[in-house]
Amino acid sequence: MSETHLVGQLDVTALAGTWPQITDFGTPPWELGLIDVVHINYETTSATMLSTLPPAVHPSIPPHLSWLVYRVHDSDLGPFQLAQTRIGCRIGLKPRGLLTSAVCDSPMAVKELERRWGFRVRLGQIRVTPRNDHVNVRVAVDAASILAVDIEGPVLLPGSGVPIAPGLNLANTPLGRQLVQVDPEYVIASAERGTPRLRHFDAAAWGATGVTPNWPISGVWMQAEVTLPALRFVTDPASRAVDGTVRLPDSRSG
Amino acid sequence: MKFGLAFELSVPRPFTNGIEREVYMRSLEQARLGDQLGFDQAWVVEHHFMEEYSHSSGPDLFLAALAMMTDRIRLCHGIVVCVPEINPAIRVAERAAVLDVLSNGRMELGTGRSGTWTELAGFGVDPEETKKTWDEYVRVIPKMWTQERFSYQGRSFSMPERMVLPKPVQRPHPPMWVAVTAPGTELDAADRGLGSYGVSFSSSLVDQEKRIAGYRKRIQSCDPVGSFVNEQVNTVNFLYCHEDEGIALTTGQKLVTGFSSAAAQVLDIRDSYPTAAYRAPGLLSAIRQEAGAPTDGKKKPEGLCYGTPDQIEEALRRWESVGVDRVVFMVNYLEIIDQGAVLDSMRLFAREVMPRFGQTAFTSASLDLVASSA
Repeated sequence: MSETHLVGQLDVTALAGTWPQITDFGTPPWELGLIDVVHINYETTSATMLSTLPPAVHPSIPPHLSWLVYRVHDSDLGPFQLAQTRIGCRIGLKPRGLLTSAVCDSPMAVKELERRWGFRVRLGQIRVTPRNDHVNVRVAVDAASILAVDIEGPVLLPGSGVPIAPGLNLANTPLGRQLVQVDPEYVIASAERGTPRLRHFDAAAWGATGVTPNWPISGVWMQAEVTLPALRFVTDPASRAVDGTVRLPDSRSG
Repeated sequence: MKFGLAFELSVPRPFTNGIEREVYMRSLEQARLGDQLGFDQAWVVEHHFMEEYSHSSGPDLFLAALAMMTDRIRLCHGIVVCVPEINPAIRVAERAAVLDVLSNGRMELGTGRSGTWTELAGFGVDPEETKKTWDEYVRVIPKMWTQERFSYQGRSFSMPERMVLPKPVQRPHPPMWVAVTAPGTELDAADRGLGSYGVSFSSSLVDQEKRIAGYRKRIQSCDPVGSFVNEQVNTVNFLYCHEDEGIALTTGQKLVTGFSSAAAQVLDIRDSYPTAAYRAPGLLSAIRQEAGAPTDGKKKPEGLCYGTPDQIEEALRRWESVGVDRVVFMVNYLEIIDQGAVLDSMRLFAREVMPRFGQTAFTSASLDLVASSA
């Protein structure tokens, strides 16, 4: 990488106590079946484009965030919903979404997501309302709204090309503090794209203090077979990714 | 085979006062030397908001300056973004014609539509529309150049009858090209009788050979948008030529890495806005796909032109064998290479490699320059 590019300036040591704990990298994949997925990209102001990212990653130009919501209809833990707020960034050449935090409506799923993939996730309420002319997403914690965003005028997307950047979860791991790469597999059955419209976003509640969404990019509502993967890579958040990325010895997907 | 220069006008951070002028002046010096050494074309891109990657938002102005300080090199205005929010079609035709007048018939026009959210959203462009507006532009621009008076009722714009001025010097009109990154775009070029300007670094040469063969075949039955068929295949490459193999390879790798990482900073349409209009990977997506794991990307991609003169000749012979007519070189990027070394690399290439491809168009001035650097 060029030495001249912008890199994150987040002080990762200051966050150590708030990170989830992964005790074993050898988690098997978790097939979630055919689920509903909402993925919304929104540009953000540049004021916090560096302060929200660790030094291992670069900001995107323009800075942006994404909200990624899963509505799982059935799983071995029963139905659950998961909503994530992620900062768009890149490791090396590859786009990534750095998780600021997530909300899940199933206590059992919260534990699994934290323990196996390092999601910083807490219990809350998620309501996804799909209609022919819009899709509403509402997220609340302790009855306080922290996200209200809609996708307006969804139209069918031909083909199956919906880009969702793999996630990066900050976690304490057997290798110490790491960015854990989580790259779910999506087999898309159908997808619609519309225009996102943000109604409410409590950035602080998502661990994204100062991040201000200010321009809609795209909103997708889709149905896909989704599998949360075995873990393959971790990256030292304080180092350049090219120097600090490790392929996990227990990688099960080669 | 002919050789040219490609200018991105990339600017490394920090963006200190004066650094953009330094980059522009060094690039002009490279282009002027290229003119003297026998390089055939100077391509200057159009980009907007592309921090570091390219600060070339006014390529026609850069080319106008170049027109005044060169005699022979062809001035290639491209790739011009052919969407009305960024460049109204009439203005594209007018500005290109001005360049043709100023350069006494040395202008060529490269057309495209941009592949980044960074650029398109900045101008409020609907990504779904860009393929359609590009198609409309390439049909009307040659008519604006060749018809005494032009009127039009179309999809993205309409205009009453006017004389679009000035008219180009070249008759019937300057050559036109299409930027080709995504597979299949070369066939779009062929169908319209346009030159194929390949800007993908990641396709294998075997793949390139198939695509070029498809272009050559398809263009034989084209319905040209202009007054003639421009059957030519151009490809973009890097150039760093040095007698010492170690220095050449290390320096060339820095160029490639610098370009790839700068390109990766911006937000690609394909990575942010799902649409069938950008279904195939563009340049940035292709670069990203080329690098596998986060720590990959250190191998020398096939066909890149950095090395000793013999190694560069070998790479160029491969391009020649797959059917490329022109290779256009980025000779520096993000000021990674010292300007003196850039100019020396160009001189060495001109002295040692160009003659092996029948390019011996040195002027006496360039011979003096070559001698003075020896």
